[in-house]
Amino acid sequence: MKITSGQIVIGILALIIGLSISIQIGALDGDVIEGGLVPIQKAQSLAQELQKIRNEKEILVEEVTSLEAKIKEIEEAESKDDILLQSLISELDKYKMISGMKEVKGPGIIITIDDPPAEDVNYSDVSVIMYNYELLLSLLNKLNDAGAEAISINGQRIVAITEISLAGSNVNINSVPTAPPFEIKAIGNPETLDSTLNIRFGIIDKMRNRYSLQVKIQKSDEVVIPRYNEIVKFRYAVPVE
Amino acid sequence: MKFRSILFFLFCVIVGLLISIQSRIITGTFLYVSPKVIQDYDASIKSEKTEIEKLKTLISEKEEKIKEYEAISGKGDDIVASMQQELDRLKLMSGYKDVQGEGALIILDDGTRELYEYEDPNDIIVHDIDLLMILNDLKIAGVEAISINGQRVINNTEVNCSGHSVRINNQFFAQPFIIKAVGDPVIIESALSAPGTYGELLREYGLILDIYKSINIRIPKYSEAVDYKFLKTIEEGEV
Amino acid sequence: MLVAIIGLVLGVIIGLFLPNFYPAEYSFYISIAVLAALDSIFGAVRSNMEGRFDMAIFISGFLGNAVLAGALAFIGDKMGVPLYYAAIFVFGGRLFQNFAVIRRLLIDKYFRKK
Repeated sequence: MKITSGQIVIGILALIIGLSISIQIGALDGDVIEGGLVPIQKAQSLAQELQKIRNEKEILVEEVTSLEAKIKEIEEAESKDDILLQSLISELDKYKMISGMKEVKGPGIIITIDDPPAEDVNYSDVSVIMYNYELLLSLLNKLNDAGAEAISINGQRIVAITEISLAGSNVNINSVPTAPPFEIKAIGNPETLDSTLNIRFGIIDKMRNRYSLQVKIQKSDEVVIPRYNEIVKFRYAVPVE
Repeated sequence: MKFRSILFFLFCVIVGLLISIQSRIITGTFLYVSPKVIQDYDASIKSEKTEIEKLKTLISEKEEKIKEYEAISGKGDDIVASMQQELDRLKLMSGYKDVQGEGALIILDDGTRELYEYEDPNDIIVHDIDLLMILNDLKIAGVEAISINGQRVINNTEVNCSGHSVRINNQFFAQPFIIKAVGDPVIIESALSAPGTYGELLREYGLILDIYKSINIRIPKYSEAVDYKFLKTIEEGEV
Repeated sequence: MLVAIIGLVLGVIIGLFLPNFYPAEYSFYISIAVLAALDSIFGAVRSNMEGRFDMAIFISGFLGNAVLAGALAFIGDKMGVPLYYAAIFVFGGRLFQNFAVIRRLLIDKYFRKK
């Protein structure tokens, strides 16, 4: 088959078009803010699945609490006449609270941080707050500075060994993947917490003005902070007697 | 019947089929949502699933404990021993016990090199965020206890740079910062030295970050007394 | 034409009892493909009435247009450009054109040639 010059031209143009299409697709890969339509049915079925999983989790949390109550019951029964045991039990309670193994409540503050609204983002396919997670570390630090007694981020209790790491498209806290918006709860003096965070050129100022993040702060008379849900296994550290 | 008609009929049936399946999938007034919504749901589902796994582990540990108690029921001493063990574990976890083990000693200090022309002196000074990032990287590396200049790092520990000194756990310190960590020494070293890490970035700026692996690091306990003014536990039965 | 109407209605009824055999994410593209397929069917009815029906053209048009329309919508989605508008305008337009010709033929056949 003889190939005419016209066919060669068309072939080359077709190649260029094909290239452009795939470059364009590549450029937008990951930018899921525009483009794409998914029927609401899929979103609804995911919402149902999420609800089911949340219910399952609730049941498990209740089971843990009731098992702990049973353990405490046994411990108290054994200690009825024993002062030593009774003081042990109250020490146990105290350190359970200190180490974050108990759900707690108290006056405090609730901070919600979200990425800048979609229209303001110029082809950014990574969440601003996730990429700049050191802002979260700074915020936690300021809360501690202002006397926060317990803190949680997106339901994860912050304990001594809590880490915040960027893993793929999520931020892992206590090894649990989370994503924005980030809800940070802290128990402490609501006035002190609020004013420490809101000082001029402080962390909240920086988040709003330098990074255009949407930050909401709300003082509250009762903030509930969940417990830490893991068994800590020590493989290197040994207590010194 | 002509073959053509039958074939055509078949195609019409197929189209009708698709139409009714489509109308079943699509209900409601707002027909479509953006994939971001799906992404958000996926993220939430993944996070809740991880939590569930953790809770299951917790549950089996509690059940083990109950079995243990039921086995030794009546023997007062054994229960004391078991409770004491639990208490020690909680103290260890929250930083109220001296600990020792394999780990590393890390020294962080302001850079001593000459400044480049027009360079901001702040660039070679250690800041709050540098300490916070190093601490966080250590935690990601799985360390089990950390101290800075003898101050145990617990959940409430603050790092506050003011002028030339730093306040940690309400105590004041100046450079150099001596950080001790108990954990896997090799992982600690790579978490602070591998290319792309924050530690490496600090070194590139000229700050001093030295790591000394050790087979025995001693870290003191948090020495303040606990005094919660606002915290209350939620008692059984309360909502 | 009766064949077409009965076929479509029968398809709809059967479809009510069938499970979804494709994932919901693609339903948007299937919609566009269905539009192209409908256009082919209207075109077939019209050409049959004109005595020009050609099975090969019908089948190739039906499958080809449906696949092409769905693919165009899919690629357009990935590129961030609503290419599906092209399918809507073209196939939707042709659908009404064919319908107009069918109407004329029907009216001529049953009401004018009495």
